[in-house]
Amino acid sequence: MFATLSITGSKADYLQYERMNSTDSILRTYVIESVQTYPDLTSLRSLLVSLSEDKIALATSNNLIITQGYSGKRQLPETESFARIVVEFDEEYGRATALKWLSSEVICVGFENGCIACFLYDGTFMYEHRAQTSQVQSLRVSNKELYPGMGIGLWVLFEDNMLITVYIVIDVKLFAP
Amino acid sequence: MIMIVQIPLKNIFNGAEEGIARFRLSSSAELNDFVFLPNSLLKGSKYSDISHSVLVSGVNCALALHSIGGKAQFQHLSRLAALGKDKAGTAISKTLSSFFGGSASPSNAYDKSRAQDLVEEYQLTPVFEFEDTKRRILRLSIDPRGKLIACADGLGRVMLVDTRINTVIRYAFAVICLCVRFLYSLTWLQNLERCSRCSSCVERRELPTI
Repeated sequence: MFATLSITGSKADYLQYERMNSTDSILRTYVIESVQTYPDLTSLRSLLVSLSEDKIALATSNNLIITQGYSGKRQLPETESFARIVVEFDEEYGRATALKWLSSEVICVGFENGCIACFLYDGTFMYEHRAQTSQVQSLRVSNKELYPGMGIGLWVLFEDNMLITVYIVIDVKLFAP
Repeated sequence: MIMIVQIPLKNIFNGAEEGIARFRLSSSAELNDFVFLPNSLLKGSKYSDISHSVLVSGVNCALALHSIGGKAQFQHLSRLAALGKDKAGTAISKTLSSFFGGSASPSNAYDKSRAQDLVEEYQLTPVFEFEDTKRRILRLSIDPRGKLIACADGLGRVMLVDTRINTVIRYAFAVICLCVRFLYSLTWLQNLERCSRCSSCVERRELPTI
């Protein structure tokens, strides 16, 4: 599997991410319009990425951007618009430092102040948790269910070398509009 | 050096009831990322108590392997699971919600200060370490089969580790560009040279071989 990220367009006005298999066929393309709005995107700094089955999540230092991809070639139809969800983080969180899809519908973001926050794919805030005061370095999900009904095992690595696991039971239906 | 450490699991949680477990990774190094090794690598009675095998990366100690585990050590979490089932009307189990400071019914209200007292930190010592004081591994990515791990360092180099024999089997010297750095955090890569096709690269330079 190979992946590319490119900023394309006559004025670098959208960002395109492609996943390809070994035969170079494009599996999926994700488009984010109005890249200029996000300086972190154009410079590719402080940028985090996580992929689910059909969605991509990008976190800049203070924004979360979620968009669905589509199957097709890299040439983009001019008239087609793409759904995009943008969440602006609270300043108290600090910079986003880690990003991970817990499932195909829930995205988790780790922050500089030690908080982890979960959002639905439509940007709905679900909950936050601050187990440590040091920066979140990395997030991983363990699907190993220690007990029936245990839920998702979210593992968080902090800057002070603390590794924490939190088991979360999420019912996405409760957050549906 | 790669080392595998086993932890006496029965002493870990000590009756705490929180849906959270804390492990202090004993290392003076700054850690950046971690991955889970597949359990298929842990065969035999020697590893019967290990539930998670975690490979961490960082500075000084480039790679370290920690074993966490045993179902018995997470036993208190089973009560949490039961609570979660009972409280199906909540998005997140109320035990967790109360611990996290969310809304909770009085019956499930949790004293945070007491929780802090109960939640112990368990010191984990790596059983296996790969020491490289000059290498700063920023990102780890494990292949879907769990047999290989790509380790990306701060200079754009990629080290390939075979998890079956705990050995570095290949170094890749990629060009540095912002795109490559970005890709490291994305997914499993097998052909870094293709990055040169990316039109967004703004900085490139060849890296010297070690």
